Amino acid sequence: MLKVKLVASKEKYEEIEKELKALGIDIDDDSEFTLSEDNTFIDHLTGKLEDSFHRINIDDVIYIESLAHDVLVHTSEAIYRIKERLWQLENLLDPDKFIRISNSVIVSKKAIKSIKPALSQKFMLKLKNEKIVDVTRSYYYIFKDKLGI
Amino acid sequence: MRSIASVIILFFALVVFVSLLIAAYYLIYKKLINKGLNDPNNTKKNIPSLPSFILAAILTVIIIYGIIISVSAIISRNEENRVEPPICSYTEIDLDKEDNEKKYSEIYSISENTGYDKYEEKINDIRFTYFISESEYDTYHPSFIVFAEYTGKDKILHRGVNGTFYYIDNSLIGGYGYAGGYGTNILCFIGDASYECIFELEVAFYNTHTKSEDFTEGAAAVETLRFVVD
Repeated sequence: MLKVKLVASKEKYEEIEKELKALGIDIDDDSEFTLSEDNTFIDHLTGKLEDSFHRINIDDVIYIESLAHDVLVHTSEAIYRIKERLWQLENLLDPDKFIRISNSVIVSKKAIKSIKPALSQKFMLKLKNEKIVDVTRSYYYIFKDKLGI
Repeated sequence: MRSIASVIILFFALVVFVSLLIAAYYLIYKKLINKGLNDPNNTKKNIPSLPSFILAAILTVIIIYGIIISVSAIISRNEENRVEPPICSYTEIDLDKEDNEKKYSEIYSISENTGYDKYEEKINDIRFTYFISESEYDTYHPSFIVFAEYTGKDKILHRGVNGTFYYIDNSLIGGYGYAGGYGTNILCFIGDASYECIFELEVAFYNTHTKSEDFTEGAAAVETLRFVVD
């Protein structure tokens, strides 16, 4: 049976779920396929820490990075491994709350503590967990535009 | 621009200026973007990015530097072209002539001339009294006035004069050669020098009407005065 991850508003979730089931499509948060409603974004992620799965509230996320074959979600408490790829997350995460700053990093806007400009086309962001991540040249103007700086 | 040193000094001054400007903008920019981060409603768009500002500052300074150098070069070239040839000349005023020249000679006094420093030098039978202008060279007043007075006992019938100008390093500017003729006990010369130089005046007084090639031959008195005109 085909399985999809469904991202929809609460009002429409059950209705779409019923219709999908009628079509023989099952809902599964671990599926590689995602069916999402326009302007609806996920409010949580499912992450693996050691051998157990955890529900990660999206507001707790500081940044998400892609490291080799893993995608890691950094919160103030722990670092979780998730299945989604960064390009998928870019569409699933609320762009008002998250911003991609390089090919391998998405940061939560509210987790940015300070911005340090570099002489070249780069910014260095100090995050709430004291980590420093770079806004790379490719994302420099996108970042400036989205933050209105 | 008068020298390469000035160009280099100007260049480094501009480099320092740009560095300070960039440092100041860096601090302002950092403050503004962090202010915008903490208060998204208060953000001001279109803050020029640091690389853009650096590029603009460097280009502006290069243009300013180019303009300054070009203008300086043009002004300098014009100044060089405008340099007037130096003037060094003198003439003798015959005090005995009963014509206009005598009237001109009455302008200058052997005792005092306003605007001139007075000097006296007595060499054997000739007393030189000379005056050097206190002010810069101008075309309306002589730079110097010289009186050469024979103080000996002979009756002077003839005179010989030879005036020469030298640079301060004693290299020759030019001479006017020997001049002579009917003479009296006192001679007056006026001269111009548009820049600092040395004037040498050789005067000979004769008690005969000499006709020798060597104007010092048979003279009752021959002396040379030398002074700096500045």
